[in-house]
Formats: sequence, structure tokens, C-alpha cells
Amino acid sequence: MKIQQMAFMLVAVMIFFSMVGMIYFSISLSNLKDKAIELQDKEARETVRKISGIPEFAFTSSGDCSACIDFDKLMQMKNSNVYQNLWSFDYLMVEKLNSDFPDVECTETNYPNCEKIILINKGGDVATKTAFVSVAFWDDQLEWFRYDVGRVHASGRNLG
Amino acid sequence: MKKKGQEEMVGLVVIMVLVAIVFLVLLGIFLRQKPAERADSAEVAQFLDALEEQTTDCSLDGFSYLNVRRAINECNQDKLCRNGKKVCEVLGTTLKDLTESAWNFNEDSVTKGYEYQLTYRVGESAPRELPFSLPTSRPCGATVRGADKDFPSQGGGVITIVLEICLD
Repeated sequence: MKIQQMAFMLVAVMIFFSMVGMIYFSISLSNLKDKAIELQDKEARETVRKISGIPEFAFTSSGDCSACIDFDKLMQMKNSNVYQNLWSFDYLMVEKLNSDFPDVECTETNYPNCEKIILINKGGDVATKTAFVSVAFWDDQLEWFRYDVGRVHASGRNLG
Repeated sequence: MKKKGQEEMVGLVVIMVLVAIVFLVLLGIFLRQKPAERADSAEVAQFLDALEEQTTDCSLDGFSYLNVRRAINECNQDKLCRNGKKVCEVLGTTLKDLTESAWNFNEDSVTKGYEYQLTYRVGESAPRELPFSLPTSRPCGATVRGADKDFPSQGGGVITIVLEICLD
């Protein structure tokens, strides 16, 4: 009888401790998952931002912003099919923030009175990753280059 | 029989005390790992990086227009733009417009509001706030994410800009 009681107590204590352990591990694992998602997101943002370093996009007309994206160059590339398959993106769009022409897509006829340039669009539903960048373009009123905060939206296999 | 029962009770109490100690230790560990007041955000850091090049509507000489980095420096010296507006005023408007275009702030959105802090310090001296009213949508709650960026000041010292996005 005494051995039965002891065995019962031992089992109860073990169950109790294993439950505590499970709760602890589930909390730890959820924290780990959050951190993994955060790191993935950070990596994707950095990958998207690196686009401004691609020579075809980089602003080189003036030496004061090596990390800027050249909006005028993007416009030149927009209609060229060569770039559709050059990078492994399904979707690539660059927009200027706080533009006077919200949601207006740039075309040859309305440029520079527009907000965004869609360089690659292979269709379908795409979940994009975004990154803030500086965009530079010639401003006729300033008679110099104007720099704006912009945002790159990209989607592709390498971006997660 | 009564003594045996008492012994079991004592055993149970000992186990409960042990479990309570284990819980307290675990609780202590969790509380120590409590997240910092402001979680660093790569997104906000990227925004601040891009922001420094932004052209403002303020010109000092009538030919070239200040970027945000230079406007922060000129604001620190309380200068006026050629059109008579204070550099700080133009800077405040620029920061407000850009921040509100970058994120959607309202009570139904994940991002509820934002706060800027701009301080200037020389060496080890206490930082002082720059002479302009900082754009703030509403005071942040406990959960914020943000980033800061240092700009070297023209007169020596460092100007630090802090942007915090309120999540509650």
C-alpha cells in the first residue's frame, strides 16, 4: 500500500514537472520563432535595399549620394524587356514617398509628374518585401538633382 | 496511521515549496529578459538613412536647397531660409509629411503614432533639444520600435535624431 502511494506520488510529481517543462519550452520556442521571423524580415529588407547598389540603378550623375537610386535611369529601363529576366524578381517597383502625384504610374508621357515605376511585373498575386531608399532625379524647377525618400517593393524566390 | 498521513502532508508541502522555488527562479529569468523599452527596428533605421538625403523646401542662398542632414545642422543654429521661414519649421514639416507617407497611422492600424526626438550634445555634456517643435502624432505607449542616427554637427558635437513608432 505504501509503495503504491509512493509510486502514485512519484508519477504525479513527474507529470507536474513535465508539464512545467513543456510550458517553458513552448514559451522559449515561440520566442525563438519570433526572432527567426524578425531576422528573416531584416535579411529580406537588406536584400531589397541592396538593389540601390546595382550599377544599373545606382545614381552616379553627382557624387554626393552613392546609395541613391537613379529614378531617371529606371524610367529608361522601364520599357526594355532585357531587364525583365535579368534579376530573379517576379515584381519590382520603386515609388517616391510624399509625391504630389499619388498612385500615378510613370509613363513616357507623364514623367516626371508621377509617383512610381514598375520595372518588373510577371503577374499573379505577389507578396512583396519593402525597403526604404533614397531616390534621385533631375528637377527642372530646382535645375539640380532632387532627392526624395522612396520605397522599393520587390518579390522573388530569394526574398522569402 | 495518523502519523503516516502527517508524513505525507509534510512531503507534499516540501514538494510544493520546491516547485514554488523553481517557478520563482524561472519567473526571475523571464523578467530579466524583459524587452528593452524600445525595440530596434531595421525598417525605421532604413527610413532614417534614406531621410538624410531628402531635399527640403529651404534654401539659404536661393540656388541650392538643403537636404535634411544639412537642415538639421542649420536648425541647430536657428537660421532662416531665404523665403523667411525658419529652417526648423521647414524641417518639422518635411519630417511630418514623410513619416506620415511612410506609415499609416491610425487607431485601427498596427502603427498608432510616432515621436521624434532631436538632441545636440558636445562631448560628454548633457544633450539639449533642438529649438523647434518636433512632429508627434500622439504620445507612445509601452510598445515602441524605432531607431536613432547621429549626424556630425558643423560646430563640433553630434546631433542625434530618434524616431519611435508607437504600436500601442
